[in-house]
Amino acid sequence: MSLRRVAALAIKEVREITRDRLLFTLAFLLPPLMMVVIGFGVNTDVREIPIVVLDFDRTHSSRELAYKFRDSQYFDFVGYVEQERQIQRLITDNQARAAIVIPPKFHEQLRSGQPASVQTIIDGSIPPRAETVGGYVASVIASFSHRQVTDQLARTRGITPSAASALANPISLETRFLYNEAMTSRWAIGPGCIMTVLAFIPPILASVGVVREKESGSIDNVYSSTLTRPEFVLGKLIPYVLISSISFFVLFATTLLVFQVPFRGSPIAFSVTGILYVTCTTMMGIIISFFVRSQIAAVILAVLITLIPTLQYSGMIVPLSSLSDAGQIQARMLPASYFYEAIQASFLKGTGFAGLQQPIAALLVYSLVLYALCCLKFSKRPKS
Amino acid sequence: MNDHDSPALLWAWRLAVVCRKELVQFFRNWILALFMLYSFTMMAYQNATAISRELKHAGLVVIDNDRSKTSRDLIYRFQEPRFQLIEQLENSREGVLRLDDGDAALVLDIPQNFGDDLMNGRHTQLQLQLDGADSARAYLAASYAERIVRQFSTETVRQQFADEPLPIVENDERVWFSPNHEETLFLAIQDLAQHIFLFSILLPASALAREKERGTVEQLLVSPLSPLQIMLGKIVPMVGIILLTSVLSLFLIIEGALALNVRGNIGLFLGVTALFSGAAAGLGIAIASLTRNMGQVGIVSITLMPILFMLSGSDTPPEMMPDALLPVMYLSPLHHYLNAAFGILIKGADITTVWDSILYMAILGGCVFAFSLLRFRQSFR
Repeated sequence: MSLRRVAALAIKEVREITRDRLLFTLAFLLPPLMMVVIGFGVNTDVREIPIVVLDFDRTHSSRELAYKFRDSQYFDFVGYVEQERQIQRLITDNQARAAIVIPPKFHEQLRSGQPASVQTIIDGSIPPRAETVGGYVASVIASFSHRQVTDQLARTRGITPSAASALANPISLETRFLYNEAMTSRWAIGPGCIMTVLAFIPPILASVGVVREKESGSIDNVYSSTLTRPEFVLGKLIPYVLISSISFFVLFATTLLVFQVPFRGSPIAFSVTGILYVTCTTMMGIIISFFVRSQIAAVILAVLITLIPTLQYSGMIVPLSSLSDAGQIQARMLPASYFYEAIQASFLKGTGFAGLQQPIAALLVYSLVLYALCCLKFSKRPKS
Repeated sequence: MNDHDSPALLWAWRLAVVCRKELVQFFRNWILALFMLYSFTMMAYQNATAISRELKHAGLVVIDNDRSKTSRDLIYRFQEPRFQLIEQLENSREGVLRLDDGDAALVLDIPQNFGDDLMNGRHTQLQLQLDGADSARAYLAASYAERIVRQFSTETVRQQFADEPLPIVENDERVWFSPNHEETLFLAIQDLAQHIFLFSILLPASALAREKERGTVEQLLVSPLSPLQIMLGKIVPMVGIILLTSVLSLFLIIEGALALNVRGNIGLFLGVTALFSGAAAGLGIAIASLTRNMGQVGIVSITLMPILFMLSGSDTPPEMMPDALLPVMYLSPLHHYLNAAFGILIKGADITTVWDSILYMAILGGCVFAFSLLRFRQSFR
């Protein structure tokens, strides 16, 4: 391998990239912008779930239950409805995500100390959301129920309300979220964005960079030169890894400064992981470029092979443990799942270098395998 | 063509000619065509079956300081498929270490005398620690754990006061449209929408960018075609191909391989899909008219895509969106399309319900279309 030849190709490539000023600027400017929009836009704090009430009872008790939803910041009380048909229409039209049906004799039953039941209807068209909405509705009803039982016990036993409250709900659950106590969604999304952005920018730049030469025919210069296959791959790789590494540091700084995510790990070890990760994704772009002949195919393949799987299989949106076996394998085939481990270890958990050993080893192996594949797949005498 | 033909017919004929040229060009790029077919069929199947947004096999570590029948009863409630009991540990410090490793999602700490306290009507407190770094999982796990403990608490009360009726209010929950929290249809539609969006933006955009890069756009400009015809020539064939693959995906994958029942009117759904695809194609042309080569088109449109995916409303509903971003959400055709698609296919909505989404898409599409046409006229005069 001649370093001089590699350097010559790399320098030519850097010149070519920096000459397309608009592309160069966009490649650096758009990702942090996208990160800010997504980081502040994706919100997991539940509020103002639109809800309607169908009250067949129309008594003091039923109004009290409805008031609990009115009073809660988690719900937006849209109003009362008269018939079940209206619930159907409102839920279909997204004007309500849940409905409470209070049966007749609700008040009578509670007054006489009998158990009662209310029906809750949840819009299940988006299942993960239905889960959340159902949980919040259930907790409001439970707190109402608790109040009824406490009142009755205090009355019949002649004990203090607090003693009655303990009797009515003997177990309480204290929940603590470690590493992100307030569950600030920005803290979870920000570092995840580094991973997402670096999953698709390097492969697009790299694959377009190679395929453009194929389209314009200037790749024939390479075919007829003394440049060997490993030299060509390395010469193409270095400039894009360099650019993507700068991009990595820009995004890293954005998470720290704009999102103010606490960084508790080793910055050097994390940077090494980041550079290895962009090396992997850049090589994915180079491999794509060997298979296709047009830039459009390169871009679309890059998105479908890197961006969409990264969003779905990295663990950022969908918990890894929730994937099927095939999904788990798919996740492990992506460099993103290893980088995401490193992100969690470095940002919120702060397990330091110990937590990064495994991801670094995995990404190193990954990049070596990809490099070997690139060298094997690249042919200086294409078939057509 | 001869002189007797009406101008409208001539106009349509010319449009048909450019459309045909575009189709020929598309199918010559057979790698892309094959890959598109793959992504609308096999990839769609994989994405709909492999992913679950629910809690599954969340690793649970229990620190049972009580070791009574009651505590074992409670632990038994944390069951597969939602939870997976990894092990029982002696102290909570070890539990936190398991959270650090990422092996465990939650650690449940049961205090001493838990069973005794409950038996004697004393209040008792459980502690739950969750891995907040994996926020998606932590939220779900906390919500389920709360439900389980609440249920257990209510049952304990009911046992204690077995001879005395209590005014307990039961929550009889019915989930409409997906009674068993069946996610596959939701995931399949979401995936289809994302693929339609991706191809609708990129195919016309690249068709234009390629001509600009090679200079063949000059040939189009000296031809008797109007800018509108050139634009429509890029959009119509691509929308047609995308519509065809969507039909394939709907019948072959969603209704065929996945055996899912869709409600609603398929014709209405396809009409809405055509409108959405057209609006997205307009966006693609707008991007291509602002940039100079395929690399730029790629970077701009692909950066926009995750933003529009995330702001589409299937992850964060509009009422939870920060006020500053709400307008961006309404500007995304994907948001309106998903509203309409979920409405029609999952909820069985008809046009009287989804007309507003259709209107929004039509207005958005019209605006980007007008913008691109204007840009197009300016840049090539």
